[in-house]
Amino acid sequence: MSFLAQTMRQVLRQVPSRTAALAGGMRSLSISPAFLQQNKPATESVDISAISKDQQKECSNICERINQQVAKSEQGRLFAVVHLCGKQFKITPGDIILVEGYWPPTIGDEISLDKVLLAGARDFTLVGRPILEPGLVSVKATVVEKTLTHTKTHFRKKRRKQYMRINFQRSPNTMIRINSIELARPVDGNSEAEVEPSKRLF
Amino acid sequence: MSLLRSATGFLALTRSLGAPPTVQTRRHIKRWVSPTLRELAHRQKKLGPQKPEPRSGFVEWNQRSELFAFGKRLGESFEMALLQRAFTERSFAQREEEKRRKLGIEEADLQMTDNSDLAKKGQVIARAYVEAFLQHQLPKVPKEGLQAIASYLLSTNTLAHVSTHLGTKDLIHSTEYPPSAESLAQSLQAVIGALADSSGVERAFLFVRDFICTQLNQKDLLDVWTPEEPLQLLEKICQERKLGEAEPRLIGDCGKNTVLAAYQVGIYANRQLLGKGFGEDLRTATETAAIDALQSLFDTHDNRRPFDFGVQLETKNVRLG
Amino acid sequence: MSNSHLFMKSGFPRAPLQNGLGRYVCQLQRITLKFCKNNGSSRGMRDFIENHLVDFAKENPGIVVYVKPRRHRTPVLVGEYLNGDREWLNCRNNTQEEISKWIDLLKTQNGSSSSLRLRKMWHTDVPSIQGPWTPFLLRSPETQGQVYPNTEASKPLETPQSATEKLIELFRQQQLEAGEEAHDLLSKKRAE
Repeated sequence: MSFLAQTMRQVLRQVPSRTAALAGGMRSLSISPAFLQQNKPATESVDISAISKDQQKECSNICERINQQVAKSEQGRLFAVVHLCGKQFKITPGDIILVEGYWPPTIGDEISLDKVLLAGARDFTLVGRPILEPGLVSVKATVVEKTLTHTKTHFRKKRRKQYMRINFQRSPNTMIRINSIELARPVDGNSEAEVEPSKRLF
Repeated sequence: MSLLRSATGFLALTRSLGAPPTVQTRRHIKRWVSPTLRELAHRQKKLGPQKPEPRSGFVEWNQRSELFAFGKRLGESFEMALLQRAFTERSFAQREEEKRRKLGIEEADLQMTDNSDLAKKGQVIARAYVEAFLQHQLPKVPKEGLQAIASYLLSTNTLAHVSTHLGTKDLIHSTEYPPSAESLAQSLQAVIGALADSSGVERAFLFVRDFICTQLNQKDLLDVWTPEEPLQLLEKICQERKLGEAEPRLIGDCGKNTVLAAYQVGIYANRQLLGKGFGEDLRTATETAAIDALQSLFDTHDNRRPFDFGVQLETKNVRLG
Repeated sequence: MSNSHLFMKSGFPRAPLQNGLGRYVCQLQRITLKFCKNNGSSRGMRDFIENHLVDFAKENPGIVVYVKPRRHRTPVLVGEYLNGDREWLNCRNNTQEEISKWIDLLKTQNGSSSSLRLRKMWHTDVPSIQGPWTPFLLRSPETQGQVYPNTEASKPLETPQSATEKLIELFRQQQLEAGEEAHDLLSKKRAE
């Protein structure tokens, strides 16, 4: 599996336009609004000629096999590692995850989780650097519950100083059900189907 | 003297009237409260555990608005009369009739409808849809496997579990409270039947998909259906599909002649590895390997394609009756 | 100091009836507002009932709302859930904004949350998709036929060089560098 991941990385390396797409992915991670972010030219850090012909061939071969499997929908259950509210979750369809702290979506909302760091199935793994390009994997989820945690006690005391404070707190929690994880388009699509980087910041 | 007393009393009254009326004085808890509560608790403890009170017997209970909310909550539109009928048990209806007969009401007004016919209808719909759903989602599983999974989904326990979580427990008119698993399951089937009658059979199919079929989510199908004598079944299937003769072989072992022996057996057919499994002796290892091979042949592994609960089956594919 | 949460019932995240798959169902089935008609502690509750309760009931037709006046008692919110839980909230001296917030909380949760300490923020029944690791995974086929005890296989993979071996090696190197002359010199000295 690690070998596959490595080759996938090599595939990513050999496509120059890929770096631009990834830079776009990084932009969607940051908080500042889109107009503040300049469209910086991606630095060409990868030399394609350094990769031997055999390796390039092998990479494209692997991509083709993955695409064939997906086209026949024989890939089975997919899993993904998503980045959500500062935490990473390993999820598969039907899972439940909890987001801690204030988070605007309310019950019954159907959302899609866009920051996918890794996606995989029985026979292959796609590793992002740091995230997979937007639009490759679509993760759909439903918000199931918004509640408060149990009452936590925050007690502080300083000895011999007549100092004692006790606070009680309950923080919000949101429960999310993962509905589906799907590969939206072929893996080595040379980012032809360039999708607008999503505006949401979940 | 008495005049003086009355005058002072009058003065006191005026003073109290003149004081701001909004100020509340906090009174302490009376000294009799604690011993009384203690005594009450003591008596309750002596009585032992009591049966739960039916929620419908409370003051704050409105059967009509509860029925309305039941439909709205699930996003369905029911006919009120049908829904009320779906929640009326046969035994309850008979008891009510007896009561009324004793009161001397005419025979014509006595007839109380119950949910048995709706339940029958709902049962047929649920079975037809569940079978079609399983056929669509698990195309490679043989008939007996599909039947086992369908009967798990339509078993009284599963239906009762679904039914309680839809809030039918308080709505059912039954002779006992809390209602038994059978009556819970029957009322769920009757609700499906009532839905088919009031907003069409397609809505009833979606209801079955969303509330009954979803019970299969992330369920290990081996728990629901494990083939007995897997090796023989595997041999039979290999013959049918012309895969060659199934042949178990030892792939690896560890700790022979110890308490913690582990054997790994692979099953090959025509030089192809079908499945492998572990066991503490060769027989169990062969059996688990055969089960593994069957799972990969039937596509029922854990890492198979997850069930799609948003699937829209065409109505003509669902065979009713 | 309160340590009550240490002995609180703990559990793992679950959603009742696979909620969220297929269709979403709001889990609050009925809510009861109990209040006093003239006590000051129920004032916020009375305001809420006057101003917002009808809107709330219209927006949420799936929730049955009961209003129960009772004399000289604390205002109370009671939510009843589809899984059988019952959440009781004291609203003494709360304003109507606070009450609408608490009602919103009752609406959005799945059961009484205050009585459960969560141990995990994630739940799955399929923990591994590519299969768990076993010592038999990707084992080389040569190890299959090996008979133990085996001298070849029981050798340590890496033995550190001992001091004597190091000296011998140094000596050999010197010999090579110096060539034959040094060798002769040495043998002469030994002869002496």
